[in-house]
Amino acid sequence: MKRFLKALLCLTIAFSFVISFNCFAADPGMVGNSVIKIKKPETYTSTTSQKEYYISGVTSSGVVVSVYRYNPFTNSFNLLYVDGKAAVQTAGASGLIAQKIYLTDGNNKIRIRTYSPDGTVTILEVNITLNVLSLSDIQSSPIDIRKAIGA
Amino acid sequence: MNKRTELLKSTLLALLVATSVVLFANSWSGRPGSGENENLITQFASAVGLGGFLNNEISLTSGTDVISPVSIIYTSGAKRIIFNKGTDMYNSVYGNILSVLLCAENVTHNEKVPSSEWYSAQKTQGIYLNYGVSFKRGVFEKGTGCPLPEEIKNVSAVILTSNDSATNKLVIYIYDYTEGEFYKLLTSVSARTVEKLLSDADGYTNIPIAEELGFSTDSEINRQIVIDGNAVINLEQQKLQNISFKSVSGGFSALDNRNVNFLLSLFDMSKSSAKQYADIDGTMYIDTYGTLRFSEKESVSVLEFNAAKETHGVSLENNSQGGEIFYDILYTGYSKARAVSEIFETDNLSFYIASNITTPDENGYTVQLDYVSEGVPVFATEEGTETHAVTMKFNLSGELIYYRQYLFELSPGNGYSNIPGVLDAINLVYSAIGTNEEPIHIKDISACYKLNEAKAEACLCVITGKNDKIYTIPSNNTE
Repeated sequence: MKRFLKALLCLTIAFSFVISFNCFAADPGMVGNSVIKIKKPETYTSTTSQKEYYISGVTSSGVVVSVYRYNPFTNSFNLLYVDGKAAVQTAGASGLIAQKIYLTDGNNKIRIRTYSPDGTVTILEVNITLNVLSLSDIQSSPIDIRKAIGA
Repeated sequence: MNKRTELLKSTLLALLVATSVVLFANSWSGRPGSGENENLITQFASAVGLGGFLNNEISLTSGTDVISPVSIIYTSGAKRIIFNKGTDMYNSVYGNILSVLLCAENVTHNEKVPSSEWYSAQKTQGIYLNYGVSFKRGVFEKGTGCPLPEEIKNVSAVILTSNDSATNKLVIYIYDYTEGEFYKLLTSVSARTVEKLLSDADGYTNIPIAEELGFSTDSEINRQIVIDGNAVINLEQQKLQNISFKSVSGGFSALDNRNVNFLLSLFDMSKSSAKQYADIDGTMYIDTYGTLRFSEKESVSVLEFNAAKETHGVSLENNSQGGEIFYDILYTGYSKARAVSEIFETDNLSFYIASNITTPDENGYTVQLDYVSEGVPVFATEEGTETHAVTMKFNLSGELIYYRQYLFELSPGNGYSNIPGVLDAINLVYSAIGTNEEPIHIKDISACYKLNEAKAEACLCVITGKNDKIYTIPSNNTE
């Protein structure tokens, strides 16, 4: 009987570990947290050839979303200004958010900050690398390449 | 006795010759006509004094005008150029694209593909043709002259791409919105045909589609809202030129005799048999088989035809025996709308098809058209709700039993209006629909004009749901 109870206890502990891991492990396929789901970029680390880039996502109505970029010279994140406007948006009824940003060559460490009406603040970071002439460029836009080499 | 017989024979011969001449003229005037044939008959008609009448009929429509995309989008990398129907730029590129589309004759292989492959093709490089509605395959084939594999039921959008690096051949993707299916057609034609068109174009800008922003999949935080992945999401604030509109006034009395006769003939009526009446709602012609009324609704003139019986309406002009009757219906309807516009001199507006041309319902066929001015759709309103420019109903035999067309003229006004951003518009629609109806499906979002209380308002149109309900969000300020 004791053995049976011990085995049951062990099983329960093992299960609780598995369940807790499942609850708290980040879903590698989804960028986001309990407040905002980022639709683009689709992963925490991504590469693009587009200098003009859109970050999009969905959150709840009233949540203020602001976008920052890491500045390695000052070791700080600065709020982005795009075409003279601060990259700050308040989600409307649909909760959809889309923010245009201009990427710089190389890695762009982007911080997305949410501020909910109840005062909750969340922060998540994504890395977007801008490759101006990557292999994917050559494959996806041969026309530009032809123009570039004067063919 | 012999003389009487000869006279009888001569009279009969003369009658036969006259009949054959009339039938010859009729049969030629009813068909689309092109090139040399059209010139011949036009010259002949002019010679016998029927030039104006026949010109009206012949110059109306070609199949490729009827089955033409609402918008054409060139994609190179993530950059795009949009050509909307009703603009000079559209007209300049459409002919070349049509010749590429005809390459479907050289299909070597076809297969169903997942939506991900369609969107992948959308994002690389190619030409996207958005028809706005679904056309039954037979209708599409007859209108464009482009043959398609039998597996395809309907065509709603097409991508012509050179994205098959393995073969470097033209690949055609077909989207059947009604069935939710995607097809890939491999051809034996060089991909260079598409590449040349794309490289010749200038003015590419970064305009995303909903799929690229992830808006075509369900949200997990909020109530479900899904935007068709193909919808262009122009997040920049757009400016639209202000326009003024003038309703067509005077009705039948403003038309000369020739145009009244022509108008009546479009509805199988004639001035000799139809009686003209006037009542509080407008003026009308009543014939044995129907009523043609000219009236004014909410500051906009309307021409309306009602057949006396649903079983006996206006017959098709080019009924192709045993062919695709829905094409003949569409062609007839489209031609009539163009002819009516010419008669009332409102022909600076183009049309596009606004209802699916797939299968008839139990009562018959419905065809709806919308106006487009310089690439921007224009909607009249009825009791505050956006309505289609032309609505036609045909019975199951293909006879026209109901016709309604709004008639107005548009002219450029002063200044510009700032129309709302796409996300602002979606939020307003989301709030307007309320919380009971879910999920919300948005089919398309684009700039439009709405005629309201004798004004033409610049708006952002959001088309939702399967019944294509249109929400218009008016501009917030003008300059």
